[in-house]
Amino acid sequence: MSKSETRRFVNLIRDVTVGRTLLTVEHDMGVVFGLADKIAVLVYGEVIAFDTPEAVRANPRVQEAYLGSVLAEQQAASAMGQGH
Amino acid sequence: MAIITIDQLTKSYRVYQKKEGLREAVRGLVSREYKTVEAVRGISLRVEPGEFIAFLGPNGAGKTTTLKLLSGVIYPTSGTATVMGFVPWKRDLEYRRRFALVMGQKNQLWWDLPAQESFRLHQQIYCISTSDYQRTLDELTSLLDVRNLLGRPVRELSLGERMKMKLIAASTNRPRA
Repeated sequence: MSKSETRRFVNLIRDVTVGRTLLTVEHDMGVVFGLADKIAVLVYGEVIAFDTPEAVRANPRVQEAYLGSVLAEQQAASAMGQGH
Repeated sequence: MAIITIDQLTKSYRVYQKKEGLREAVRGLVSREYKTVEAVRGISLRVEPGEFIAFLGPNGAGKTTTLKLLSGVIYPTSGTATVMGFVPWKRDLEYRRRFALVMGQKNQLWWDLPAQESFRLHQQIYCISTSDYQRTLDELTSLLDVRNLLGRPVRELSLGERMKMKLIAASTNRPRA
């Protein structure tokens, strides 16, 4: 499905499951971060984060698991640049 | 009170390591090498009633395996879990009536039949009274705007329409909590 179809479909699921508990596996970050109350991030069979979308987005372990250390290096370089 | 509790849940699979060539194929008939794959490694979670939880992770992270464990499709290697007070892999009838599982890549609708025929099958499997079934069907087909498609063979529906029908099929038993 396209991204817009996925978003529409997840909204439909929410409509059908109002008041019920819902677990979903979804790779579309927009859907995950826009609609979920909490996100469980799994890597190699372990939960490395289980928290609200905001907290998961800011979690260094999640950033590293998904983006390698590139993001951390960019942030470090940016911080050093601001320091000079 | 949590509706789902998972405590140190693990699931390992023993996978046959097949080697290349006829000689190794014959050798494999008498002596096989296996590798243990740890799909889920000691996860613990608590989910409160009404929460919408998204599982995120790369392929092979254990997301679908966890959902299969929670729906009782497979047994864990170790650890515990309860959903609505039930241990999923004990597969109590009362538990199986109370949840729904939709797998995107699995089709639970008969391809050549109209979706309403598959819904009827679900009604029979779950022993749903005709009045309850009709009420649920009216509500969901109206909500998802597919009432006029109920009589059309599933193979003639668009992907989106098929997904709506799958959602209805999974909801005919009115999953609770």
